[in-house]
Amino acid sequence: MSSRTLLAVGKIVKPFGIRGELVVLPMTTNPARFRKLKHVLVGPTDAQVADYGILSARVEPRGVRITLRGITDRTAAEKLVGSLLFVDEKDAVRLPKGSYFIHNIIGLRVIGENDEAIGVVKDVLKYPANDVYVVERYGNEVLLPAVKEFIKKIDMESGTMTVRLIEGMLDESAEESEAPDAD
Amino acid sequence: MSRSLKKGPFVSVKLQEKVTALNKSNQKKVVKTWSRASTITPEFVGHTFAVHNGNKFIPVYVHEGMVGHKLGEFAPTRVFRVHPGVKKEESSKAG
Repeated sequence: MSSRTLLAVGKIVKPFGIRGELVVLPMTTNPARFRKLKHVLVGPTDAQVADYGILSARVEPRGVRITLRGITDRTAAEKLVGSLLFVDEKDAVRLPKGSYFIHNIIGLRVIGENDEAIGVVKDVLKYPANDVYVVERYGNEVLLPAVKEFIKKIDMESGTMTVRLIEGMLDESAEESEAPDAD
Repeated sequence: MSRSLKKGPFVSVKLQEKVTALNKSNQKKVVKTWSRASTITPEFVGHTFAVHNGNKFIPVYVHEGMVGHKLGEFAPTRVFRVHPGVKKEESSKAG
């Protein structure tokens, strides 16, 4: 296999009907992208994939329903259940300014406004209010909210993320903590 | 049944005192809290709360649209993780 980078865009969860339709759980920020997708790579991992054309795709509240070229009955569709759908990184959706793919954020060096080293981004967690960057700092985890008040700059070329810290963010000055009470 | 209007929204007294003090001194600090049931009031806007989810403190930056909700709504106690190790076409908005 070549060294191309594949991104997972969905997972086949079950067949639908008897004509080979598949229900796909989207693993992309933009499920509507399936409507424009013409080809997809299907396989259990990114190392063993097969190219399929997409005949139709409908984005529905409970998943995306797609029909792949060559999959014409339920028996063939059932064989693909559990497989992932991949696209080449160069075919990935274009992101608006200020948005980055999570796999690109992971590994960035986090520095303060005065260029002091803070740590390395280890993970990105999705929470209802804002995303949270998990930064590894001297063996500990520091959680930084991904909002423009604190994330000042992301430079992919130099692999750095510049952040503005406020008191208590590194969890060292935890004097604000209150004991859990009966409230 | 919704909470009686006569009582007003619930906010932990300790938490309210801390936010009032921060607003008075015009300071920004992360406010650690276990009070997930506290309602977000307009005074909370612009502050960052570390809300406990039973395991760790989740940083929640409060903006206007969150007023009237509870702090706990923004720090779920359960996390659903799928397919670790697979690069996904998922993005994060940094600001």
